[in-house]
Amino acid sequence: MATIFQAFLCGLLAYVSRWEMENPQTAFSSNTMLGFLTGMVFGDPRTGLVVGGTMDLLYLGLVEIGGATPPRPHIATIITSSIVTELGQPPAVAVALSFPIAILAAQLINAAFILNTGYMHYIDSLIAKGKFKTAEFVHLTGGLTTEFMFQGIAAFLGVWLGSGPVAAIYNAVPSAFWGSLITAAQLVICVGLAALLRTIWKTEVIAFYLIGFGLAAFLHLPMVSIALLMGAVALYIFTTRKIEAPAAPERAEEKPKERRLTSSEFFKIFVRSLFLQNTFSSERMQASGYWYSIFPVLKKYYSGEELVENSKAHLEFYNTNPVTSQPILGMNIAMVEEGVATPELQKNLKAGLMGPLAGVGDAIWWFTLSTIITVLGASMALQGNYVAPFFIWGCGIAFILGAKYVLLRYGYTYGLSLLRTAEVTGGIERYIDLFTILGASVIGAVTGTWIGLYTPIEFTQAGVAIFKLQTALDYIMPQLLSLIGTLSAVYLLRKGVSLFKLMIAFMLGGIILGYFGLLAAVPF
Amino acid sequence: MPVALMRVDDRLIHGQITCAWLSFVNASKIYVVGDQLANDPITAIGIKYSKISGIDSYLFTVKDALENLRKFESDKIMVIVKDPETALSLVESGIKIDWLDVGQIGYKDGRKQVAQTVSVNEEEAKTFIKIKKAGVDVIYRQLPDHSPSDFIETLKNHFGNLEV
Repeated sequence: MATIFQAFLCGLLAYVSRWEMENPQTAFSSNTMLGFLTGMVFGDPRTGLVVGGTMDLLYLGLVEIGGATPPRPHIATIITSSIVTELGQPPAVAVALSFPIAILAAQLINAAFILNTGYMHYIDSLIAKGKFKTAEFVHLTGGLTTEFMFQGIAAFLGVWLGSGPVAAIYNAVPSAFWGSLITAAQLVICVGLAALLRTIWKTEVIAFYLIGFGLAAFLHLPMVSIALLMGAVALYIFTTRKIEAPAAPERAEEKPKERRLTSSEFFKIFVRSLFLQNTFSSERMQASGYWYSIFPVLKKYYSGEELVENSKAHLEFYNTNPVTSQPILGMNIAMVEEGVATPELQKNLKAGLMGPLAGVGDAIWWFTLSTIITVLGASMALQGNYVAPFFIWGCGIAFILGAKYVLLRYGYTYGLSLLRTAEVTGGIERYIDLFTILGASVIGAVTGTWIGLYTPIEFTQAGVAIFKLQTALDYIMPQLLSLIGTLSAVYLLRKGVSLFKLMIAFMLGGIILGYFGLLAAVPF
Repeated sequence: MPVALMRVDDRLIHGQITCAWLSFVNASKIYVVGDQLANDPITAIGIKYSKISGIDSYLFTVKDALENLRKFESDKIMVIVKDPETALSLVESGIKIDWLDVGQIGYKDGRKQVAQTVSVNEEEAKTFIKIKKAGVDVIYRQLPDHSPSDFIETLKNHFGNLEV
């Protein structure tokens, strides 16, 4: 049984990591990292790492988009890592346990978003009265008492009380069942990969998926080298593809203007912008976070009633991808600084851009970039490489936090002239294509590397195997069943089966087929 | 009819559209429709920014949208409107859809939050009921993976029986 101190540490980890996931978003809170740290608490970081890596692959397809919360695996990783390391069970046990916990975690998050609406109304009334300091304080502490707190408490209780009942269940269930869980887990990963493929589905993408798969299944290339190779291919296509020539005269206007914020003032805004989702409410989502980010600029240029009116403009519904929110914020600051901002114009800027930029941002940062980073890191974790969690974190700092800084700077420097350049450059679709190609290849590589479905069916005569079905299948193509598993999941998803239902169906199917010896999987 | 899906969403084209709905309904074009919207320069720019390869997005007034929807019968188009009034005028002009997807209407003063991502005032609620009366099911469904729920029932729970 976990000591109360160990449980406390795990609870704290859940608390801090959910905060990190909502705010600076440096990819510190990967399941790989959480598994590793929980493993440290229980003196077995290696097992924790494997559980974490498994979870990262298992929940790869369940991405949070547009304020909809799918099952969240993070506290499940913490709880199951603790139980698995403590009881010395195979990591596959963690798979079965994680589903109910992940659903509960999502419900706790949604409940917190509803409670945060109360904070939002309180912030409204404070701002109307001009009590800005208190409003800032409420935004900074709101989520600490709801969303993050709930996750912390759930992880604490799960770690503290969970191992006893789980040990009892573990001993009561026949061991063949737990063996079949590995098959089930890999089928669930098929669904996750399929979910990602579905979002980028078109003919070119299938081609790159198959190339990635082939490099892994036939040539057994390591994941990182496939990513590197395909990255080079994507870069080549990206740089050589013709784009329609922009109309020349408009570009002349696009000169950076003199900006008035000192670098320390700018940095302060940047740091504040990292608290965008601290008190995320279901009613107005990122509204209070946006106001909190821009407030120092408003205060610099407005006072009295004007400051209140301009603050109120930012309390309307706002929700976008936190990375692509940055250029909007940058432009908005520039607009205030140039003296052309009115409350109405600021509202329009945000309302007009938040949706479209979220569409681009989610496609680039959450669905492809994060997927690629996570897959590479999880692959290292499954090989027991302790660098894995730090690799993911480092990439997150460089590509997510870095992008947040660069895009804020960019929006601020060019200001509203960016709105004109959009017409010139024709948007950012080329960048999406770049990441899509790389993403599809990596998803293919995961199918070929980490999914190892095979059939143990064989015909015997006088105790000697005369025909092994898998040998016949291998003649056609190695890893055929893993490919079929993933592509059939894509087919079903495209037919309209809901993602989570399909995951459950594949898991049950895996347990049944595994239990009766029709399908098996190579353990990670 | 070329409309693969009609959705009420005041964030217009965003992650839930680009990363979930488009591939789910297999649409190759997006029409963002609204009379006020079509004259708003920032919306026009936003839609240019959000260009995804292989998908053409257009910003139309109701009149232009109707014209194009009639002209390109064989296309599969996802229609996004910002408010129920626009959806109603499209439906009343003879655009055939089986159901209307209510995805997202943000909160502002005078609106009441009725679902996780939808806030409406009484006027808007009435418009939704008119759409239902025109023979179109009004369904609250954020993402394809979510199970659909009857939005009219939801409105009744919050506003009682509205006379339209």
